[in-house]
Amino acid sequence: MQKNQIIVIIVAAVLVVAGIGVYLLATGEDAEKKGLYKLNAVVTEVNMGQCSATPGVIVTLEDMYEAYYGDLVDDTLTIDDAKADTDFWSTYGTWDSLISDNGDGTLDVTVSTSAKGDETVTMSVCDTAVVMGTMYSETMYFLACAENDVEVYSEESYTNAGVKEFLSNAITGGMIYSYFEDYDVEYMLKCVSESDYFDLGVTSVQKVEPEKLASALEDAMSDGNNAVYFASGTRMTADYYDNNVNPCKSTGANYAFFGPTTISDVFSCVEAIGCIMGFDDETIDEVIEDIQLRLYKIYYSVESKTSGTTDTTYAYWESGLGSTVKSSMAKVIVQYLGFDASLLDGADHDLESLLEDNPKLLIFYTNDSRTMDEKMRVNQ
Amino acid sequence: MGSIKVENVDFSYAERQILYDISLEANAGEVVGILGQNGCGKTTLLKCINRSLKTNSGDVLLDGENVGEMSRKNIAKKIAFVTQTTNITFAFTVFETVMMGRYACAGDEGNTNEKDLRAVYEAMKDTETLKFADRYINELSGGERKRVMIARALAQEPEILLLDEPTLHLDINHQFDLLELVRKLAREKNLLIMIVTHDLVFASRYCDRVMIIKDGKLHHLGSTKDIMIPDNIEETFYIETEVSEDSRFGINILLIGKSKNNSDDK
Amino acid sequence: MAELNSFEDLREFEETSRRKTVVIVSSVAALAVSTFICAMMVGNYHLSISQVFGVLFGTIHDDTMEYIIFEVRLPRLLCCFIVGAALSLSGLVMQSLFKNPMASPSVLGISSGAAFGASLALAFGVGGFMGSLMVPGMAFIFCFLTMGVVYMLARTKYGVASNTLLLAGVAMGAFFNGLVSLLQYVVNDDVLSSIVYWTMGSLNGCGWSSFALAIAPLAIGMIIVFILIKELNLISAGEEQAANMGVNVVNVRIILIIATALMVGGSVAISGVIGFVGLIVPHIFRMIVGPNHKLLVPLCIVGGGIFMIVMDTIAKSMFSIILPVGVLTSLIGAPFFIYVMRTRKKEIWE
Repeated sequence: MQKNQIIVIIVAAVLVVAGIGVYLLATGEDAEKKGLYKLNAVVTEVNMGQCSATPGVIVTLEDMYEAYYGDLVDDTLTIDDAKADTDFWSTYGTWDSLISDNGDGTLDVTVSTSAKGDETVTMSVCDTAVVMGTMYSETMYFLACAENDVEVYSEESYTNAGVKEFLSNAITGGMIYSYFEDYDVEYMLKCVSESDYFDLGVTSVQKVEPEKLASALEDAMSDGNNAVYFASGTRMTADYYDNNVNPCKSTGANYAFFGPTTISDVFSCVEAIGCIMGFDDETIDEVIEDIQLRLYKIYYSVESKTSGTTDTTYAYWESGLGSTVKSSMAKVIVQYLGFDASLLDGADHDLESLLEDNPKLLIFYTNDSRTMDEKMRVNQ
Repeated sequence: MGSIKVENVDFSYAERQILYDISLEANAGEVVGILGQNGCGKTTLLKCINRSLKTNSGDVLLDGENVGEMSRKNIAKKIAFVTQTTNITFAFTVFETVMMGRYACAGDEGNTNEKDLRAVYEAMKDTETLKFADRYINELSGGERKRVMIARALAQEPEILLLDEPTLHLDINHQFDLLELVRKLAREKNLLIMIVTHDLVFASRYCDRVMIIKDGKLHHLGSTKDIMIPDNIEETFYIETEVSEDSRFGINILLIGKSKNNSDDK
Repeated sequence: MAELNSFEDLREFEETSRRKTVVIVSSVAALAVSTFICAMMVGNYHLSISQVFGVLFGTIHDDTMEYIIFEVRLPRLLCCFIVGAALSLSGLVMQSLFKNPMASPSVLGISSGAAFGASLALAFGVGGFMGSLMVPGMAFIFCFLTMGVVYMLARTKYGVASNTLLLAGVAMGAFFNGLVSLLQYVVNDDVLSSIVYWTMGSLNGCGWSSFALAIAPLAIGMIIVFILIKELNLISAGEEQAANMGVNVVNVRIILIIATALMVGGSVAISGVIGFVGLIVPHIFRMIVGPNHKLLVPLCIVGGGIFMIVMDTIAKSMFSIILPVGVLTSLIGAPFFIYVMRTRKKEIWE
């Protein structure tokens, strides 16, 4: 057996050397010709926080449009052009109101949760908010920027006194502060200090502790403020409804839960949140119309660029851990830009099927820690 | 060539001492019987000899070399052990089973070769198991299986053969076959054979020397004629016997019955 | 079977057995090669059979096609083969060492440990110093860590009994499974789905770098087992008897466990936890050809490779969504195993 053992050891050594050789070969070759680079697709990165039904989605749409198509076809379009374009306006311009002013200082708000569907709650205008979800804080940021006449996401907006004062006074607490650091939520980091923020320590309504929430609400209501608790209604199934609502009832705070899934829903929420936080109609309309116009410009450009083409073009969207994105808003975004959203199904797409489907736009998140070569599956 | 020297061996298992200061010598060409009541330490002694068990103190020397310092393979080249029970988990064929015995020797030469085959052949012929070569080991009767295990031990081409109750489960004619084989191996191939057995008649007839173990101590050791006397037998086994000389077999033991001074207390 | 009387008869008998072994192993090897080639035809990028052969024989020169064949399908199938071979061989070793038909590579708790290591990497970035090798690296490290812990737990004054080893392995496996569940509860949804996906096992991302990563530990593990075929036979016949015949059972057992950890660690590192392969494949072959490892070892290597290639090919192409192969091996493997168990009469476990 000695002789055989020696042969076998030599074979093993050869294999190991071969393995090292293959590895070196694999990494040495021109990475540009491998993996998803073969698709010659446009690769873009978007901020995860602005890919849901939140006002910031317009930034995502604009960035993606620019990355793929380039300049807008007509930057001089007006809001009246948008209203005149009935196809656009009937789908994206109109929206349902979730709020009505009773005239006596109270508002009726349509709150929706998975647990109880739509309910109407009556509340007064509020000064402070405990916020569980960036959609709400971002909406307030947009409204504050419009009121103070600064552009959203500009450096100026982070230093503007009016914006800072509003946000730091209005947002007294909510989701875990480190989330803003992890996901680069600049306006929160720059305008709301951690020391004045009542940190609930969680990122979703499902993990909220009722007692802690009650304390946060009491903190928000100190100095005689009217407080409101904003959170996502979609995640609030029957198991979690009481944990989130009872603290409000016991402390006397208001609550408002929304579950926007379309672009029109964004406008509904802007109006509702704006009214609740005491913004005037003019500011609210300004924010809404600004988004509508920007949307229309993109819509118009996409229509002209894709008119006459019959081929389906796919987009592919992958999260930082390699799984395919499948949220309904992600599909809306991709379809809005003229792509077929079939690949956004949450299922596994191996390299071969991607090469077969040939998506022309590849979307990743800005907080994706992988290297570009990893995302493009070069060293598969 | 095939000699064992046990020097002052003690063995304990989990605070219970089993062997007390055992010393003995055995040489090539002789058949040594190991007798005693159940639990007296006979099997343990065998296991200490082939180093299956480590002694607490004392040494076992195999041809002058301390068994405690030898590798398992080197021990197996000289000593073959046939255990009392043969539990099988897998259905190997008889041929495969016997061939396993060549492990210790085969390593030096490479794959199965003439030498291995020849050894296996001789072993199977001697134990009359050739006809079972392609049968599965679990299909054989207990006795047939035992013969296969003995063949496997013989395939090792050992100088020393340790047998733990080899005649258990065997048909009476096969018991004779086995013991004749044992004698032949001792005489013709100069093997040292140590047999643990309960069978006083066979022991007296086929063993050159006999040792009696009682309560873990070596009570008697000597030629069969000297040791197998009624007093010794009664003292150890609590039975009455009559021992007479026989020209054909050396001595003849007649089992009378249970001893009148019966004391089974240990 | 003719009566064996003479030495020549025995020699002929032995040669016939040997020839039979060669024939069986060669046929299965040939089957492996043809399965491999057939699997090369299948993939989500549509290539016709003639196109595949064209690229392989160099008559077609299309950049994308060559890329698909040589950089995507070929390495993936090679990874399938070695992972299937390694897992099957590990299962065989575990079943023979512990003389337990329920033994599988996971019985020592090492795949659970590896899953935990990978989950730590996925959830908290532990092991980030290994860069892109973070997840496979952590899986491999924890595989060995678990093996060490299990062995230490099973050690007593009198050595390591096989049954104690099994129990310690089951306990550690349960412990790490619990830890993985805890992690799944604590992390956010994205990470959760990654962890769950990883624990289901998949060969989707396996290309040349995965192959290069896994080939060394897998090959070394398999070669170690190959060298110890005789010892495996003897130990499976009975540990005490094996020791009597000259096998250093304690050492051989440690070496085989290390070989198993190498094979399982290497597989888990590139493909996640793929269950059932290590349980079914060796068992099926044992039922068909018996317990002799001279046959079983090569058959498990080649047969395990075939099994994995078939499972992976089905998983990636037969359904409208790509299934993780670990799900498929459980779903298909179990009924098939039951079928083989009922149609074979040979009882091989006492």
